[in-house]
Amino acid sequence: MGSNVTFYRVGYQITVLTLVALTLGSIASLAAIAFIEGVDWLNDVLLISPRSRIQNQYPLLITVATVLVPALGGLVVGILLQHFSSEKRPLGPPDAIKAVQLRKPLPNMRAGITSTLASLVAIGSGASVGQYGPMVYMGAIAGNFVGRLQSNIPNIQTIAIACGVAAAISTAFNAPIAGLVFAHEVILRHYSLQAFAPTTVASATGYVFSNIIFERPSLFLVNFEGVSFGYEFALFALVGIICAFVAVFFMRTITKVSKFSASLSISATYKPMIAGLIVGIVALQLPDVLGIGKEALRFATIEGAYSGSELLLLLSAKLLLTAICIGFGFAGGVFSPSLLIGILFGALCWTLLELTGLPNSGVVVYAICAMMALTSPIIGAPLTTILIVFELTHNYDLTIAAMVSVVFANLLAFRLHGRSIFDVVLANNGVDLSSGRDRAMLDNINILSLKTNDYANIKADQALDDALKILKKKSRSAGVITDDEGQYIGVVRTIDIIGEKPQKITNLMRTDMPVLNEDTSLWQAMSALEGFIGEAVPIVDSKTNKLIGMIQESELITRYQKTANALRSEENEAV
Amino acid sequence: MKRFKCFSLLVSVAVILVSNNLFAEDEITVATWGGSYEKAQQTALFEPFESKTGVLVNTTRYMGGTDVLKGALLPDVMDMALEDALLACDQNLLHRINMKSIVKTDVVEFKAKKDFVENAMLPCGIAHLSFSTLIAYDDRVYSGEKPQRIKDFFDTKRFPGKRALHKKPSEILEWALIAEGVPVDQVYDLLSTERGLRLAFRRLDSIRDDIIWWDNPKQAAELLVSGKAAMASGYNGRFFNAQLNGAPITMIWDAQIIDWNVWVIPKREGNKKPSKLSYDFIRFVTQTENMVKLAEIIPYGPSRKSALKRIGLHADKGFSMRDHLPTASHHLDRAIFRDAKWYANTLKLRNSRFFDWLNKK
Repeated sequence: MGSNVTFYRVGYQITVLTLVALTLGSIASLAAIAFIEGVDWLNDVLLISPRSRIQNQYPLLITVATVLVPALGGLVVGILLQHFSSEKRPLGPPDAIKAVQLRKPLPNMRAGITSTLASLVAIGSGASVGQYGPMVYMGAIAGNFVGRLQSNIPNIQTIAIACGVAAAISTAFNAPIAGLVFAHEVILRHYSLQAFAPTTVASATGYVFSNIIFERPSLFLVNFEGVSFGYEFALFALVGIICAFVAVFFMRTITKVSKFSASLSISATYKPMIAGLIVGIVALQLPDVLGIGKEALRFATIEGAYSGSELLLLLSAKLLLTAICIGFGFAGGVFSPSLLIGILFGALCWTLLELTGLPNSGVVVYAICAMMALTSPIIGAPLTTILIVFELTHNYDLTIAAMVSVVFANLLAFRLHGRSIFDVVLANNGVDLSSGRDRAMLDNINILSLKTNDYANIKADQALDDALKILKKKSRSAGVITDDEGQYIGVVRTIDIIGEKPQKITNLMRTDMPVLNEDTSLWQAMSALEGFIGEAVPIVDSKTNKLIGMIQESELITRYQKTANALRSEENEAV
Repeated sequence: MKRFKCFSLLVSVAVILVSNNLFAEDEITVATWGGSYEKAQQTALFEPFESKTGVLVNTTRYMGGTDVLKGALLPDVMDMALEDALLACDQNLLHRINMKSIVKTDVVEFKAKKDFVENAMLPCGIAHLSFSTLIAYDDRVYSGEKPQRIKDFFDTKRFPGKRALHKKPSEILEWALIAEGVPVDQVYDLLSTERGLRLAFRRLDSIRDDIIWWDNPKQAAELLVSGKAAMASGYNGRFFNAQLNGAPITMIWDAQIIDWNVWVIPKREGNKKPSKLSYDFIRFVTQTENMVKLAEIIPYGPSRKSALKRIGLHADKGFSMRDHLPTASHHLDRAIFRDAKWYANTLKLRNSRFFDWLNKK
């Protein structure tokens, strides 16, 4: 290969990737800012934000709005998702993860935009769901779109989605490093220089937009003087461990409510409305549960803002309502509710600690530790959460403390539940990433795509000579035997027929051979064929027992190798 | 002789009547805030207006609020705080102002409308200057460690002494919440919640026994000078003036609250349109050079960009006045821009909570 060719190729790739990163960084960041502004505007207009509620002079209107706005918001969400989206469900980080991990396209653009609109309405009307999931997905949509352009660069789609996601998180939290790490930790799940460089550029672009051009305020600002006592690190670890249980409880509650909701015989269009109504009724007594709850988040770091019982009540309400909203199909994420539940739980831990009279460093550090410890196992991103603390607070002591809580929470929750709520959702939908990306990919290749119709089919009543003729004609060493209706009976090998006296062919066939069906994935086929010697395996319909076709072992191995090679080259690609 | 006396009496009555009538045409009553602020307005605005137009400017004392607008004797023009102006405008107590006819003859160098800072042109008035409400302390009391942050105002252990505060549910709520650790950006969001109000009053409770209340803005500096209070809330211009007069006080710019004063024209019964004289007056006092003159006497920031640029040295003392404005960059670190709309819309609520709290003990 001429060195010139390589030089131009590298130059081209660097230029295109940089442009892609800058474009996506800008688009995703502007989209994220527009989303936040949209939510704030809706919250004000719809009397969800405390600032708009306190300025309204009609108490009756407030009461009516509290109950009806989330309910009607739910109705709009239901109509949008069920009638305008082909997916008929909200899309989010799991879909982005799936697209990247399996190297598949995202669901169609229309479903994506509908889902984004639905989440805007959901959060705008006060549902207890989060804004970061939809923002991440917007970044992914932008990435998917750009990635489809004919750029002739390997893995461009994966990289573009990662860029969009990184910029979204970078903008949302004013945290470029966290954005970069989130894209790697949650979306890409591998480290290659080819992806790292553009993701970094996109993340920095997002930061420029949020921090320098638009001067967005930080999510929170806290004062923390430092950890006063060494033994508190043990307490941070303990907080992390308890948070793991709360996080697992939260995720399981979401799953349970989802199952319960699926078992109800109510049209999916109206389910979010029911959840909205429940939120509204609870909010009459507990207005803090409405929406994202940035005020509640802020108060949690102020000593004495809540009593212990208020904290317990609010965090339980938030946890249950979020589970109900998500389970009943409200569009939105779990990230910001997790942050709120976590910070309230941290404040509760500190309140209990105060009761013991043990000297400590104050509520701030416990609140922040728990906030991140509870969030990180839910989104499966320990490094990201640690970095968010660092970039939001610029406080080293706080970051170290949060780090201790986060790792313990992650270790435990991983064992109890899984890598993240996204992974569990994906696993329930047939994409199991827990044993690695190769397995997930192989699991998602159906063997029907590899089947051949060019095989020796022998009828059960055929004479041995005829069978041999068919085998010879097809030049196969084994044939598959079916009855008159085409139902599978067994496999017969040439060696078993040769030299045998005329008899029923079924006497000579083997029935202990592995058989695959229409749902078998490439991964399952590979496991089923362990120890198998032969050239092809029959695929049989699991319901009718009819023969669908056969699959050649060499085809399986070729496909397996192709997949593995593609992954290896993507994950080790430089520029 | 008797006849002459009678005649002269008639004449003098006639003269008085005529001159009274003339006066009715040629005087204008302006409601403003008294003290050093009014004195500065007299020098920079009212006297030049009188000598230019021959119209006498009478002033009446105004202490804030909108109640005065419901009374019988209304001034022609008022110098109102922004929140009150918004409220009064909503309640239809003020004339709508036709900005074009006020600023049109004023366009010389600058496009007047662009020259005013954003949102200075209101439906019922023109915001003309920014002022700051902030805390000042008596240097003599804190000769060692000095209070620097709003938190210190609420820390009577580290900084003992009486606190003088305006008897109103205004700045103190923001300050109390900021002292709790709330960032300046979020203070109105959090004050909008029940929990925020509770926290603010809890903080106020912690200094309840050390509070002296004032009603008249000029009292703030007086209470410090007389030694009755160690720290006081007040307006930056008045503290500045007291300093000039030798008062040993220092202002804490941390968490200063920046607000606007607005020229408005109260509606009188049967008076459908604002008088030409009121318009003339407002046009005069919002001209760039007149705004500059005022700002060179008392450090309140004019609302015209051209005026802000031209502010030079103090009229008597000769130091730069820019550095003393509330909007000087070194004062803006943790400045709060008062949300006047929020203030106007929460007035009732804040009042009822405040007086409940006052009467609790």
